[in-house]
Amino acid sequence: MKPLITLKNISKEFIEDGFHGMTALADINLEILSGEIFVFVGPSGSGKSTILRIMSGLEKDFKGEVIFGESIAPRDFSFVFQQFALLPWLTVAENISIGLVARNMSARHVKERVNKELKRFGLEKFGNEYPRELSGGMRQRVGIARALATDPKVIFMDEPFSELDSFTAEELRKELLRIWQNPEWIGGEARPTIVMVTHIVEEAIELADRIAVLTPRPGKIERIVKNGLPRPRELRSQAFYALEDELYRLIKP
Amino acid sequence: MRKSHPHPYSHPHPNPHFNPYIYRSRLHRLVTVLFVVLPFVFFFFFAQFAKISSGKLFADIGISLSRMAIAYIIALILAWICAILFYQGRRAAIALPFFDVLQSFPTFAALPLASFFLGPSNTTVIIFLVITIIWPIFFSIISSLHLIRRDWNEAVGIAQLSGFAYFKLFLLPITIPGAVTGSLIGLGDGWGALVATEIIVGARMGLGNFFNLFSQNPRITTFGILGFLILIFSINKLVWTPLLEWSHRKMEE
Repeated sequence: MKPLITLKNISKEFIEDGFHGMTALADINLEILSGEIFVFVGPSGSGKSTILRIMSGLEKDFKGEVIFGESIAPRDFSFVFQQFALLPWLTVAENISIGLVARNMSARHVKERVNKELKRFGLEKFGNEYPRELSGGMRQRVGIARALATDPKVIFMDEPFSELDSFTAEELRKELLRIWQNPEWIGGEARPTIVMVTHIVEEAIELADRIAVLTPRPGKIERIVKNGLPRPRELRSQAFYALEDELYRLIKP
Repeated sequence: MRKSHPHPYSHPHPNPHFNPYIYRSRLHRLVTVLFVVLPFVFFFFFAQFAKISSGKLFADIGISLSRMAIAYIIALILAWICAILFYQGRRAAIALPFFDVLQSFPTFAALPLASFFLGPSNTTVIIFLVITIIWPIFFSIISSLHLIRRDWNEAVGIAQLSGFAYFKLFLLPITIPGAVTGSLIGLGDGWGALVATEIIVGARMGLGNFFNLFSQNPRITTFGILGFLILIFSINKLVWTPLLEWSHRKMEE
């Protein structure tokens, strides 16, 4: 299978005090396959968010090469932010619509699509509310709805559940998995590719097909672990715990 | 009676004394009408008292208000365009100190010279009003633009919002609080500058002409200034206070 996104010798330095650089990422080589859920885990400072930002095009200042497969372009990307990044002056429905408006969709189609997303995420009653009127969990539902509305082929997620309470986070993870397993729901034929960053090992095991463990200072890929546990994953099984132990051994603070 | 209305805001207002029903009450309508009528009534009786034709007085007020309105619209548009062009990056580093010096330009020093060349025309008055009003609006919009959060920019970038949609859904709403605050300050400076400019230029109509005419009569001047303040108070209550509250509320997260 041809890789969808290839990272070649990616490194990134942050200039801290104007003279001395801090190496955030050193020599990252990696291939993301089409339709997989690829998760980066690592402690803070390991550069996992930076990799995501480089891949998605948000970070342009880096060394190395990002190569995209033939079938994708930046318009096929979407991004779910840790702190939701909803625009406070727009209603929930308007927030979900921005990607559709940008794609010059007719007002009627935008409305139809937004209503579909509102319904999917149980937000029908909140379409005309402002983000400030919603709880954190509801806000991230809006964030995910906005990301899915444009039928993305690649969804980047930067610690999307870490601002939420554990119950809400679990519910949203299940919802995400359901959507990923039923791509026709978001108008796609093949499963979207999900590239996610987290610092929660259990979350990585629950979702990922492959897990890249990063170590800090400088950020490096320690190892890429294949997660062959069958879905739906049993969170309290022996195999789950064994994989968890293996990952914890790899993660060095 | 009150309970039959749906609550206008489902989220508590930051000011605990704020009564959301106030804008729907009979009292509010009554006070609004009062603010509209009061300046007219005052000026009508004032004209009787000062033994001048009320037609001439209202014409003076009307002409001064029109000059102000035209100057304000020009200043707002110019300030907005300059702020968008120069708020960040290398352009900001070069332009902002330049604008700061321009801001301190002693307008009234150049006024006699300008009126010598341009004559006591509307154009002269409007140009000098624009030069006075524009700066607070410009710098307030700049500071609004600096409140753009990185992830808002990124969300809009990933959605590929551009052109008119970017203007309407992103840039315009973000700059409204700054534009309103700046307008409040700018117009405050503008009212003073309006009368002074009209007097210095020697405009044949307008409030400057009126105050110049009665410069030897302290009673008429005092009541004239009082009427002027009532007018500005009304405009503030009817236009700027609601706008200010609305624009800041929109940006709340």
